[in-house]
Amino acid sequence: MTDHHHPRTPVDTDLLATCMAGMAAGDASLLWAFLDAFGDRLAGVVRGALRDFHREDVARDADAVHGLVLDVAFVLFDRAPGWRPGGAAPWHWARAAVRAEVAARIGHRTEVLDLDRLDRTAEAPRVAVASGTGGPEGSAALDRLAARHPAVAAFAERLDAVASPRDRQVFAEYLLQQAQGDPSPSHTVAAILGLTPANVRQIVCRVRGRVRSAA
Amino acid sequence: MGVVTGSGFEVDVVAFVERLAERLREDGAPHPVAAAVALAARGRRRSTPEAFAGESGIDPGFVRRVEAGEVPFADLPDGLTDWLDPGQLLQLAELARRLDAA
Repeated sequence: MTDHHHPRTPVDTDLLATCMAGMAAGDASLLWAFLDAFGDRLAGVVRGALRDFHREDVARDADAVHGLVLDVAFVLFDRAPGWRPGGAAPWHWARAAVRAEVAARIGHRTEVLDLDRLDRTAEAPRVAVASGTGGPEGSAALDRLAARHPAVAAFAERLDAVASPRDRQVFAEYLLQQAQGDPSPSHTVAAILGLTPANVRQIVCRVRGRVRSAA
Repeated sequence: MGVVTGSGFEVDVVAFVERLAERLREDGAPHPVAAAVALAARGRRRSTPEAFAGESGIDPGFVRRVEAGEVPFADLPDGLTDWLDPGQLLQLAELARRLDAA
């Protein structure tokens, strides 16, 4: 596997050993610490595997790479009891398992079926595959939760103050897709709302910044 | 110990909690999202449960109960959730609604 990402700082071997020992003992809090400290290394390994699999499209998708880094981290968590300090870094030691996880997660390359090309007589409906709803429901979910949770109500109020109705819908839908485990919510929301993934990411970034500024 | 800064990789809290909570639920935890949030909160500080409890002003026994999945998300004290922004709280509340045992 080719690691196309070369972090400049050396690995903190003491911290690595602490994390792996904790993970081997089943302490999942160390999994967070492991990701926090070595997530950049895992991201480099994941991107390398994706490029080896000729999946540059996924390697360029920050959301997808992040999700794969988490998946790989859980693989290393499960294998932590077998790792020994002083040997290869876990992400190299478990190279085959890491590649297998990446391959299993990305599956085969697929192309979106363009119904308009097949039948130019009718507009093809867009379908929210990930949520299975057939349409956006993020704003409605936000309103439902706001009615039950004061913290969410305060958040919704702040969101209404800083975002247009459309941006609110995009932002809420993004949060909902993310909560449902969508590894690439910007793509899903773009398909649902007829935007580009870049548009969605820009809107989410802008709204998130405004919400935080308004806090 | 305060929050430890990492390598520059920003862990997506919601994505992490969801993956961990799914596992905890498979292991039988009734409230896996709250447990995963507590584990993430402690992981940020790289603390033992006892040290984390002391730093957060929470009873160590309660921290252990949360991490064991015995405490609902809605009952988490500020010390376990004050590092989350409102958007993350929203998503995690929704996640808890889906994953918590009926």
